[in-house]
Amino acid sequence: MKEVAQLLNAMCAAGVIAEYALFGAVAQMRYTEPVATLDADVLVALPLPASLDFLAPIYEFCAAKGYVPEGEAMRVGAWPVQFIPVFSTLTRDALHQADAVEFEGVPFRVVRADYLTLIALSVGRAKDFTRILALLEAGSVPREEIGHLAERYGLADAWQRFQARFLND
Amino acid sequence: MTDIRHLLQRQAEWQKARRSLSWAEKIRLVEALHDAIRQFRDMRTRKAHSPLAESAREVSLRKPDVPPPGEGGEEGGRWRGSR
Repeated sequence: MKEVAQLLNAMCAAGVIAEYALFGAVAQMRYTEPVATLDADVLVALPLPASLDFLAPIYEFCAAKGYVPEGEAMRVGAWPVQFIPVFSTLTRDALHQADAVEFEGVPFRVVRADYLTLIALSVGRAKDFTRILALLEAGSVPREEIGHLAERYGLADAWQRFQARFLND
Repeated sequence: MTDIRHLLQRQAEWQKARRSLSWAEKIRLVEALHDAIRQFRDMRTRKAHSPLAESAREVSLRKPDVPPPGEGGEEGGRWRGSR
């Protein structure tokens, strides 16, 4: 994962991406118990307006450093890394407000628990619901706070449904 | 029933203990899992291409020369020699 952090920082420094933040299961593990996941998801903001082949500069940069694509991802050390451009106000805010942490001495930006929860809620697959439950159980994010954020991002109904299905006794 | 409840309680505590590991330690656990999966895949690939597997595949693909016992081989029998 240190290699992933170094690569992402190098991409930022070279202007290939404007900003990045790790999200998904690997980010979730900051708060919960370890999760068996095979890949690392990274939100990226591109310096220019997105074109059709928006991932091309990222892939070219990685290839120049000797990394090879693996399906939808780029293999970086032990991790297939999937780059996902910000696709909504929610993901843009998640990126801007990401935590700046360190991984084995390397600066690394990681999406916060509240935004991880909101993104999972917006995607809404079974594994996303599991993620929300894990984050709530870990006490990493208060339910009221999620309620407020869900309203701000037009996810109030989804949050109501989630609560009715999984949280209300 | 009480034993099972105790077992689950101990398991929950053990899982909570894993939650308190540092983020880097959790990631290293997952990376170790990746290594194990890769080794397992390599082992399967090696096995699939080993001389023993090759000869086993040849045998299974070869048309049998002799009908299985008790199934005849003559015209009208169940065995047609092509599997």
